[in-house]
Amino acid sequence: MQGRWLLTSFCLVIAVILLFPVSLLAAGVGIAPKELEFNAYPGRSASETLYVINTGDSEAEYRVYAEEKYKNWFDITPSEFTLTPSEVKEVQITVSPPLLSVGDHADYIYVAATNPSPQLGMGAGIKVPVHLHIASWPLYVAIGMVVLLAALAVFFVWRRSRVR
Amino acid sequence: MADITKRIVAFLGSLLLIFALILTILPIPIVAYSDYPLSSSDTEIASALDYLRNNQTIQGDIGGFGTSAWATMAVAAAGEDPHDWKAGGDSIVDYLAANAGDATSVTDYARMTLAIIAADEDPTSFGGRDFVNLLKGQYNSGQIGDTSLLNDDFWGVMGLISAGESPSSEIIANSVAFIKNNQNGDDGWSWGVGQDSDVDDTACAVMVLIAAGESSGSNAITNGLNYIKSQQADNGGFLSWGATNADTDSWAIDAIVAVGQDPVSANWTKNDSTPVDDLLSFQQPDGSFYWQNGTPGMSVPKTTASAILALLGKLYPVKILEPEEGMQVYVRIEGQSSNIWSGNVTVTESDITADNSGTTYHLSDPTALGALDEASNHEERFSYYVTDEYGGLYAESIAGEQPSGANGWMYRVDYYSPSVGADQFIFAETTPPAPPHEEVLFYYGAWTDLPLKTSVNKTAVAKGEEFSVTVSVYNDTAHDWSTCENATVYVDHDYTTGSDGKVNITIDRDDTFKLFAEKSGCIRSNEVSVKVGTGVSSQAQVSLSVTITPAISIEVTPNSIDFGDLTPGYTSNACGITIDNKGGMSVTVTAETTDQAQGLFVNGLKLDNNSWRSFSKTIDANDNLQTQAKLAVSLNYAGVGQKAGTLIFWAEEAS
Repeated sequence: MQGRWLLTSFCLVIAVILLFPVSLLAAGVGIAPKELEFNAYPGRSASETLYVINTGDSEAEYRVYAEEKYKNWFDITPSEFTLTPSEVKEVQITVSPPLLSVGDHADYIYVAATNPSPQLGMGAGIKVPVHLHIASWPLYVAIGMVVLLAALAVFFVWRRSRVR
Repeated sequence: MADITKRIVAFLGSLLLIFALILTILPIPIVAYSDYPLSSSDTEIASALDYLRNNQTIQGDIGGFGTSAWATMAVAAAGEDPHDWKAGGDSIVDYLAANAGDATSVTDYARMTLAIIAADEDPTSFGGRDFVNLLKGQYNSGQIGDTSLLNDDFWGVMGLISAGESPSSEIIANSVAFIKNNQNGDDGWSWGVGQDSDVDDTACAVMVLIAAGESSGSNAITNGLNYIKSQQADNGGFLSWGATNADTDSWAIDAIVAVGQDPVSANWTKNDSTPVDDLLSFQQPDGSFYWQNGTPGMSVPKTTASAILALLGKLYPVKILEPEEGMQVYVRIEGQSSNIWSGNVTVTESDITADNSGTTYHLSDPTALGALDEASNHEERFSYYVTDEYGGLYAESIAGEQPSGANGWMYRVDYYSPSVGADQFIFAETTPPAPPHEEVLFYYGAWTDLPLKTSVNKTAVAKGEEFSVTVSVYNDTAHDWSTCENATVYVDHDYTTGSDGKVNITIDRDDTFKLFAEKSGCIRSNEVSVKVGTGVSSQAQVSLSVTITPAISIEVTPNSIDFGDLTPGYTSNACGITIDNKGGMSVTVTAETTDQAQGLFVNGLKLDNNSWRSFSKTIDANDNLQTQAKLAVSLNYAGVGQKAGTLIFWAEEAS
């Protein structure tokens, strides 16, 4: 009788295992476009859109960030978000190059998908190449700004001397 | 002394302030528009494109048939794909294709050709029509279209140049001469022969002459530009009917750019205003351009499209196809039960391998067999089997259709049955038939089968409006055509031609029909398109959808690893990790490990028995790779309890 019960229990366990196979969840990320290109002037921002998709089969947390060296140039909105499988997020990336940044710069935007885990959490990430072309302002604008600054400086010196 | 210094400083300061104010306040419009040409991300262009986009209908059109072609060119010039321009329905390119039958004049054909090429489509086969041939068909008396008109020559030449027609070809060379011969005494051009000059047509003439290879320093161009300059108003724009307007400014700017000059240069600046300043003054808050402020004009979308091109520094033609070397011929392949392929090919020399022997033959001239070979390599590929066992090269089967009994594959050039094999028929050389050789017809049938030809009296009719189909048969003895009685014409259903070779047809539903004729003992005819009503069938709508794969995408399985219980000094069992490349291109994958566990994972994690730092693999698109992860806990590791870390696999496009 007991042997029969044990056999029945064993079969039930096997059936449950067969009915509900252990599935390995995957962390996935996809992006488009494959690289970003910005044309900007020092002090003037330019924006591009990056699309991020969860290609995995479980909800994951996503973080989008720039390399440390250029971190302050970029405004990434949103920079952290959660996506369900197949969900797509439109990320606005705005670059505001500082005044002394004329030239071509190469950087990466990093898109990382991670699953918080009490063990070793696995993640998938993509490095998105970024090309920054920072053109100089037209000469007369630069001259105008320099002259304006110089004029203001002289003006303040003059004001101070008058007050005395 | 100190007083003098103060006064000098005060004087200099005042001067500098005044100078600075002049520099910072006055140049605002110059700063705004001296960046000419504008880019598509500039507000002026972006808002103009938004205006066009907001005016697109679900059918795909923007402002109707003609304007949609102009809008297509503007969209392409702005670097966008017109195929992506849709308002929840058909794209603007779909719209142009569906309504291709509406083009009836030289300027229609030219505008369509320019738009089709701008949209990276084939102008020789678009919406069932060959616009290049339609344009060429308008060539007469050494010019294109009406001999009393010039604008049809401007745009006709422009369309053909865009389609890759050589400037040295007879049609271009003669038409250009016609245009130059009709330059008025005041150095301008008009829309018609002997009519008064205007800036719009002069600008067109300058653009088309430059496109046709005329030197920007030639008398015709220099004088034309002088005429345009003479019409520049004090506000920088160009006069038309006594005032400036956006359309005239746009084309004049195009002409200036065409000759390599800068429309915002001092040469084109009047009272500190440039043509670009005047053009921008017509932009409305919604991004559109009015003909004149307060006067929208005949077509706001068309005016806006023209302005976009001019501001971008682009001109007509927006795109020019590279002239292909070799002979261009029309190839039609008629199989046993249907047409297998038809279209234009350019053939030069060919290397053809006989399938039976494996021997490759080099045909150094453009041959009929070379044309078949070219056709087989087109997008809609078909296979053919060629044998050398009968002496020369012979196409024994095409698209799998094998010879049987007296029936097999034959060929004709311009409907004539040559006496040499297809590998020996050299275009523009072999006779008969006499050159120019325009069409080669490969057909499955008997030696005695005769070609049929179908023509219609109208290519576009209203619903319920009658049109007539005529079927002719080729006479192999007289080498001419005669009417074909009792031929079956396939349209919406079968019709039979009468003794005059004609059949009158009336159709009561919207659709575009491709009709052809067949008759026993004859070769299936060419196809002719007839648009009925809107030309769009309401009976069968096919819903289209597509899922676009991300450019780069990877997936890592599993999403966490538990290495179990480990004692310092021991290494875990291997845990398998799969990395799938789900994107459209090869990627290089590297690894990065972080933890807040005193370096447990950073120092101890190994991938394929090596430090994770040395992991670097390339995975092809839609491929995957397996790697084994182990955790080695150093003997002196001090932590206890459950520890967490992160392992990220980074993908970037493989170089």
